[in-house]
Amino acid sequence: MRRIRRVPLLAAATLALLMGATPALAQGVPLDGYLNHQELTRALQGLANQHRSMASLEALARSDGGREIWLLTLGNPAGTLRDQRPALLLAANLEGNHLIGSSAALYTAQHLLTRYGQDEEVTRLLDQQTVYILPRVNPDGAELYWAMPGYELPYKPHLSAPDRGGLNIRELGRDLNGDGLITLMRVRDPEGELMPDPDEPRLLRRADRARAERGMYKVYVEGIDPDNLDAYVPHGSDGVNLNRNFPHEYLFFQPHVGPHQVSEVETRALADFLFTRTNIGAILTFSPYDNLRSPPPAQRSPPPGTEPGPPTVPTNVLPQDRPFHQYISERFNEITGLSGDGATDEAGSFPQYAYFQAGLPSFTTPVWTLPQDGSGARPGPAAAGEGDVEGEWSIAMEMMGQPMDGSLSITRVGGELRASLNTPGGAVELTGQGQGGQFQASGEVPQLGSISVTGRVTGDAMTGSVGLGPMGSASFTGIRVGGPGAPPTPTARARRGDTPEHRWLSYFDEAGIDGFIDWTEAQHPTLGTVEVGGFRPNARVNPPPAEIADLAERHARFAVWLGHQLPKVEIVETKVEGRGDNVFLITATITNERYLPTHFQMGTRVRTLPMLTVRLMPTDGVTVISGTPQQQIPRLEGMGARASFTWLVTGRPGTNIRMEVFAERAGGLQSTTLTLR
Amino acid sequence: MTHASSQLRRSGRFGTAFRGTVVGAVLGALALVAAPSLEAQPFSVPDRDPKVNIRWDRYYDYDQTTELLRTLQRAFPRFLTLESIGKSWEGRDIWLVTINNPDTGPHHQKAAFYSDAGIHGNEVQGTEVTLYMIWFLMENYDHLPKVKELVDSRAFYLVPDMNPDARQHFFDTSALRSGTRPFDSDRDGRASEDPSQDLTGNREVLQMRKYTPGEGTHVVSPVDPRLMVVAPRGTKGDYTLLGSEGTDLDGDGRRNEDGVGGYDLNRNFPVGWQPMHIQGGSHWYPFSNPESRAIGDLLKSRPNVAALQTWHNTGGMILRGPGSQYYRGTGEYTNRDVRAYDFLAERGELMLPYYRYMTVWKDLYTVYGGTLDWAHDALGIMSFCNELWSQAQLYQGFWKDDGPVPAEMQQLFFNDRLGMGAWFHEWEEFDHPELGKIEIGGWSKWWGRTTIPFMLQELLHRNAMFAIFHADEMPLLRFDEPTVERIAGNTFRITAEIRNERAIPSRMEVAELNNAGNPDYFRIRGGNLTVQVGGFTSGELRNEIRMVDRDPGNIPVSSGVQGHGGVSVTWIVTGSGSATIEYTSDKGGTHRATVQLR
Repeated sequence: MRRIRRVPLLAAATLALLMGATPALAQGVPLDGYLNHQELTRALQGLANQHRSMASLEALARSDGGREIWLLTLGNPAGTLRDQRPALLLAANLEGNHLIGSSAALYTAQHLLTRYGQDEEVTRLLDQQTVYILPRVNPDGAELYWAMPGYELPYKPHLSAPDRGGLNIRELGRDLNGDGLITLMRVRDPEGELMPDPDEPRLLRRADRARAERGMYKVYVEGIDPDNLDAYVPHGSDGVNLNRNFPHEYLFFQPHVGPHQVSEVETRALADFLFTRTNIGAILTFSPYDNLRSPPPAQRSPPPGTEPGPPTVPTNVLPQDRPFHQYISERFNEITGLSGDGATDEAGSFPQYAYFQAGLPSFTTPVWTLPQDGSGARPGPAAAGEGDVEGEWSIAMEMMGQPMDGSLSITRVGGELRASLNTPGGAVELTGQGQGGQFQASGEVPQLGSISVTGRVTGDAMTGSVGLGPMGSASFTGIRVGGPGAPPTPTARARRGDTPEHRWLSYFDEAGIDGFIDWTEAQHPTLGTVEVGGFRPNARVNPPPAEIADLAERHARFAVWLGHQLPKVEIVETKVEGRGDNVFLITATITNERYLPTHFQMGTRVRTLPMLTVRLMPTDGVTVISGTPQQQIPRLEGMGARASFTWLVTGRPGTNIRMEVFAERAGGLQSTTLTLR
Repeated sequence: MTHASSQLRRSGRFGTAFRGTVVGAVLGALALVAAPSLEAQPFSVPDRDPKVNIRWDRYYDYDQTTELLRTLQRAFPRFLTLESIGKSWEGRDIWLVTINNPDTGPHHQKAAFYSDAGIHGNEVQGTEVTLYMIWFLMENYDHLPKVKELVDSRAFYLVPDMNPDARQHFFDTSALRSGTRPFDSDRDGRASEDPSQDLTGNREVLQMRKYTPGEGTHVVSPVDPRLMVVAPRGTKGDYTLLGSEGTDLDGDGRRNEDGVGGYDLNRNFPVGWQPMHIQGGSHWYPFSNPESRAIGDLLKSRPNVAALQTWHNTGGMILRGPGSQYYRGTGEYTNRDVRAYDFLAERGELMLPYYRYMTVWKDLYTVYGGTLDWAHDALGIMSFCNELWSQAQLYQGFWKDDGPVPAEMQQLFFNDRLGMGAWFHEWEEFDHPELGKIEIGGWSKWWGRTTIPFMLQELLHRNAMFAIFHADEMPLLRFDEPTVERIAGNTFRITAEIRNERAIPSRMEVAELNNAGNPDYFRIRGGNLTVQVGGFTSGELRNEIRMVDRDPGNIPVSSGVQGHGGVSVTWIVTGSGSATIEYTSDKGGTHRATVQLR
């Protein structure tokens, strides 16, 4: 075969794209750093202006500090009103310092808006459904990241002490070593119980006297006056962690949970939104907690500090709901390539409230956290689900009885696929289309004519064939060898200490992240010489900015997939059969073709969700003689499950009767007209 | 009251003329202020009219209540403030009356009594109790020294009606426990679309029955045809009971299944709050409704509230929490707090015949998220709920089974003989659009839970007196004379004791456990003073000190001063001149004493 000239620029760009070094798009949202309120506002306004019909931006409420809690509503305005179509709610940045959440949420908005019209899945999602995005529920708390950069602050400031970042007097420290950070200070003290960990001297652990160990340190917040450690803090007088301000497993009278449940303007706005936007079918929250990288456990104990209550208060995801969580977690792992755990102890959190008390499918994940094996490996290639043909493939063909290896490199540009097929005989550029895990592309080889490649992808495996015109066709198999973010080979052995702190240190060391301030001497006004050091504030919360784009992209793709799982009830069929003079039997059948059922098991238990309701509207001359005019069932499963309703009525032939089907959060109110004949 | 005017009154001549004028001026239910120079008349000399002549044998709807409050405020402007603390769902003002004597200090620096009424819109008498209490205190300030003492030394925050939409619904149509915010009770996607209705236009929602001979469930009672009894077993009755007046408004085959509102504001408070599938009516989250949130915001902003009374009906109860057996894992308050509750409620039983002192979950039923638990736990307020009125009060005793009137007739006997038939609506025919020929009748909304008007004033007075007793027993702190003793040179021992002359501690134990509000503090300062050591006076001879670790000049007293108890501290100081000792308490106020170091 004659060599076909490559298009170097495309290949380079393709390569760059595949290697994960996604540059900040010149006109896109900033992804090279975290955004303060002004920058976030500008980015959201930019998106809304560039996509005026598909996106609308409004302030859901204003924080105590007067900042907007931005709500972006995405959806094609044509067709059913956006507030009546099944909607996915994406909420982020409830903890003030969880900025990666707001970046990922912002990116998801951009992902949806820019790929509309080009990506079939995105287009269908926005045409038929709605996506609500609250990229930053805690704007006052987020601003502390810049106003008080030395601290790790998940709170919002308390009105009585606006300059304290929400900290109470037991937590306020001082920068002793001039590094602008408030870390820890360790003080030599004969009564100290702590000693450096021999395996990892940067960390301290409790000395075990039974093993002839001797403690030598006490540890405090850097610069604190030790007298303040037992200072009195009235409950509700410090800054609130908004993701601890919700009623399920609320930690009564503990610090940083507010004076009572849903006490803050931000959390009240979010709760009211959940209950008044009755088209919201599922919630995805970016928060430190997780039930996507790993599914929720079958058994867990209520976190410490939760009040005893009646045995009817559930502690675990209900048995009928767990398989759905399991499946969705598996798909999350495949689509994003991410696994691991989030923070535990999610008492009083919003995602929990949405499931346990509002009864809705509620998913949460931190976007970034400690990689599971602790080796410092960056996330693996995104394992493909259906539709993910993009990537670099190593293929093995048999051509006229001869085995031949090659590679196939596929990328999506705009609405079409571009593929580069390399074999020992040469390279050819192809263009084509692909969706649902299948693709087809073709190109021209001079003196050979057109060749085509078709393939089908499942996970990391591909099967397909190459059509070579008059020379016949050859089948091939392929495996994925590259995708965004190919991992470097892990080199560090697992450390002996197995606490999260040990694993974080290993990870920082491997990844070359300056996440730990080494202990150095400093002077304390009353304690004398101390050593200052510890984890860098927020180093374990937000990734280095270079990783934002890649992580955001993975989560955006998952959000698209999740949006498509929302239930939707449709009327399959209505039948009217005569049963004698003026007597008719009416049958209506509905179905839910989507994955999620209309109600989780938890949703059938709570009293905040209506039942699935079908009713014949009162009509002059029509009497229902069997079956009540309004019939209800608790739920309808997905994947094509059906339910039928029948009525026996009397009425004059030719009478029109309106029938309503009400499936809140799964399509809302639909109606159809039946005629008696 | 001046000496001159009291002479005039005793002479009687001026008094007679005044009475005549006042009688002429008082027309109808609402009296207006008479000539401004005339004084309020005493409770203890019942031969004259009060300054503001309010009838206490009737009920007042929202607008009339508002008018009465304005009248009272205009009549007693020195002590009364009227303000709105928020709007109900339909936009009605939720009124707050503050009683305070500004000449003795601002209200927020005094121990304050708080009450609310009407949280359940059908429990109407609490509003009248509140009006009565305001009126009584104002009318008698000049005449009963105990009243003067209370008004001068305490503050009162009184919310006469915290659910005004439901109250108005009661007066206009029928009893309504919930607020009027639309709520989808039958979970069919439509909110409040099928309430019961006043089909006959008599401003009542009564009962419906249909004569269905041989096919019914009930028969008329042989004792009285107005009574319906279940048909004897094995037989069919002649009547079918059809529930409350109403039609199937939404055509879904059921009547009255989704009425006005459908939630319970007294399950909308934070402590113990559970979602609706565990506690009916609790709505979306604590304080999700404007009425409960207005109360929450008010109480959060008034840390000086030491006593709370919430008015409900019915049953004749003096209730306290906890609302659930799961409270703290024990189902009971701590001993110190229980003793304080017992002190008040046991005496309340003496003041309120037919009322029993009860604990909510143990003696009544489980309540998750009610007012009492939140006020007690989160704010450290001693809180009672009175269920006003017991039907036993009608009979002033126990009904005799072998008496002349059968037991099942007791209510009708009362209706007929003491009410002249006022409260039972005779069954009357009605043409129902769906049910055909039916009859409508039954007990009026003014019967049952609502106190009979001729017995109302006694109820109002006794319960107002219980509330006033509760207010009177709020902590009242007084310094004993501190002692100063020179140890040597410039070093002195100072001992100070603060005593609580009332039953309610200056800090409840639950407040200490939950970090509610601030601890009390015993402080000392002076121009030339160094505090060497400080702590609680201890030892058999009270000459030892249980030292505090640090900051001895500001000793926290986290358990406050117990009811009828005292707290004594001892300081060792060096210095000269005078020193000021101060005791500060959220609910006990701030008190000072000065000593000289010599």
